[in-house]
Amino acid sequence: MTEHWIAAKDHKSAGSTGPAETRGRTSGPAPELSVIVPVSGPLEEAAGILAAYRTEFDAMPVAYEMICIVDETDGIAERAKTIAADWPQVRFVYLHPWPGEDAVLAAGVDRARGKRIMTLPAWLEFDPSDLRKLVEIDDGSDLIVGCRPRENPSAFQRVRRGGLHWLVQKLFGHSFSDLFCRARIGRSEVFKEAAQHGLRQHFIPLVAVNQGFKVREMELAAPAESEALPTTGIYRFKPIGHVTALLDVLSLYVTLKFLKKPLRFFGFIGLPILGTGLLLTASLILARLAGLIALADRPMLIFGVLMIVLGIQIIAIGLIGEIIIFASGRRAKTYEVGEIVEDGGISKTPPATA
Amino acid sequence: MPVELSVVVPSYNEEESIGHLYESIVKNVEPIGIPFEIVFVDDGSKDATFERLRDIAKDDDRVVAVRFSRNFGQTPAMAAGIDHAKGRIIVTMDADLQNDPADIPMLLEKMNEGYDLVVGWRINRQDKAISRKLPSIVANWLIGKVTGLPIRDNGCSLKAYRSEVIKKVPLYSDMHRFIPAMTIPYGARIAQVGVRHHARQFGQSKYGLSRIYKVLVDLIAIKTILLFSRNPLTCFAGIGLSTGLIAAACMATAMWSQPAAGEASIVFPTLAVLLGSLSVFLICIGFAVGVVHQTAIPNPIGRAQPVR
Repeated sequence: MTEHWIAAKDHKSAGSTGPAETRGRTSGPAPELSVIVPVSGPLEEAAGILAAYRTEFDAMPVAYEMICIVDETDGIAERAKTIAADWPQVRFVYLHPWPGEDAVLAAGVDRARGKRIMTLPAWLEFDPSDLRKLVEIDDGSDLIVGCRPRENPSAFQRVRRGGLHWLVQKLFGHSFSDLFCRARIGRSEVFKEAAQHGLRQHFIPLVAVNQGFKVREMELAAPAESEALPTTGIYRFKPIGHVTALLDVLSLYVTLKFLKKPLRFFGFIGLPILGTGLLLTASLILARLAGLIALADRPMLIFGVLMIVLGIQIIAIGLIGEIIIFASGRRAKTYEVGEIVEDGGISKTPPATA
Repeated sequence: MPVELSVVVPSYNEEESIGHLYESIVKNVEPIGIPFEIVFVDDGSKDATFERLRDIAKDDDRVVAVRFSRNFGQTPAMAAGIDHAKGRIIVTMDADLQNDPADIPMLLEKMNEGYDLVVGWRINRQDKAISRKLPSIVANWLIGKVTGLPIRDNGCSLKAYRSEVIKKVPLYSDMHRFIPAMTIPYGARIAQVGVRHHARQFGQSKYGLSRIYKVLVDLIAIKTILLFSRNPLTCFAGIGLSTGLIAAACMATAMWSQPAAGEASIVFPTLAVLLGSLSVFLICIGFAVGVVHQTAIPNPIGRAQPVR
């Protein structure tokens, strides 16, 4: 995957320094808000929505940067330059081949300099005038996720949504009415935390809630019908996608709950199996010792021993996990300091850890 | 002057207790006459704990107040306090006034006898007998048996550590309960002293009864970690080889026993294959663990200073 990075200001010097040196260059003071927009399709289609976002952000009294992540195709740099020419806040990141929206968002979070991060789709998902509402709300929430208005969903959509909702509610004890809305705004820590767990964008609110952040939902208005702007992402039905999504939910659950205590998870599966096996085998051996039955023609013995073997194997995997966690225990970050007061009341905020 | 003693206090929603605790610590530690500091860690409290701490720290530059960005739990809070402590000796205690800072001088005396770790045990434990004391007695007995380190009261937070020992011990998840056991690989010398214990004055107890499974499973984990810190490969390979022996015995039985005419027993050959595969699996795990172990051998603490 090649990747380079052009900020608006860097264009003038790009010829002399080359892309490798302009990558990661930051210009000016850190903005307050970093907006990340992944653009998977052609840039022309997204240009309209970017302009719509720009109108809103320029009207707000907030210092922002727009991080636009695009698939590097032929001639896209030229088009990006025309957009960036009169828009100093925009920065383009080129990725190729397109690694998927989750990885793209993680790359964006990695580069965001703002105290707050906002993610937005490259199509018209909601009325852009709601952006101001999202940005200006200040009620102590760490993350605000958008929630799109529902038109009439098909039966299949309803079943799918209901199933997901039920599973998420069961596993995490908390669910959201619209996990798939791509408009989110929150403190950068929330996104960085989510990135640590392998950023799956639709699970960002779940990770946040689970880690003790305050998350709230906000109803967004439906977009006005517009000829010029695409109103949906490119949607294709992928059966495999549903399976991977399910596996992702489960693995996220295990990671969040048992990352530091793998044996609690594997023990939960392995101990009952081992116990069953031990009981079965013990009863058979006792019966043999009492002279009731012979061991040799009891298939039950195979079953019992199989259970023991399986139980030991599962528990052993948990033990390996424990040992790995112990081995990396001193290095792993288990907490995050918000503020330190010392030397007679001097308050320090620790530098953000990269 | 370098700080000799750091008192580390993890606290969560303790706005009523924290001021009293601070006064009590100062009253009891000042007469010892060594430079000390108090490190309060606010584990993302929802009440005014940190505001109280800020006021205290303003008036007293021996106080360090660390606030977490959100609630992380008791062990991370303790780890943060220990990370931020600068003293040669670190004393940890609860913020709920159940431990008495008047015991700190006694802990220090014991430390000066040359111990790396002095563990308090609560002489007159002021908790409910059935829901708190009984499980705790069973747990302490079990922990002592499994780890080979008979600590009377693992749940007592009032402990004193030599800083170079405790800073090496990994603190994660609910490990604070097993700190004494976790120092075994580091060769720490441990003493126990009886300490006072008061009934809870303010707030709510933050524990419940629903942790038996967790303690049991954690114990298996600790036992493995302790075993493997001495002998990584033998732990797994030993079990693997003995399983292999049983498998061989099953195979031998199958080979030599003469089944009665018309009935061929598959039970023993199958058992042999099953157990044989388990044996291979365990030995492979032994190797995997050996690889991990290369990166994580705890170095026993050096003895730069003679024991006083």
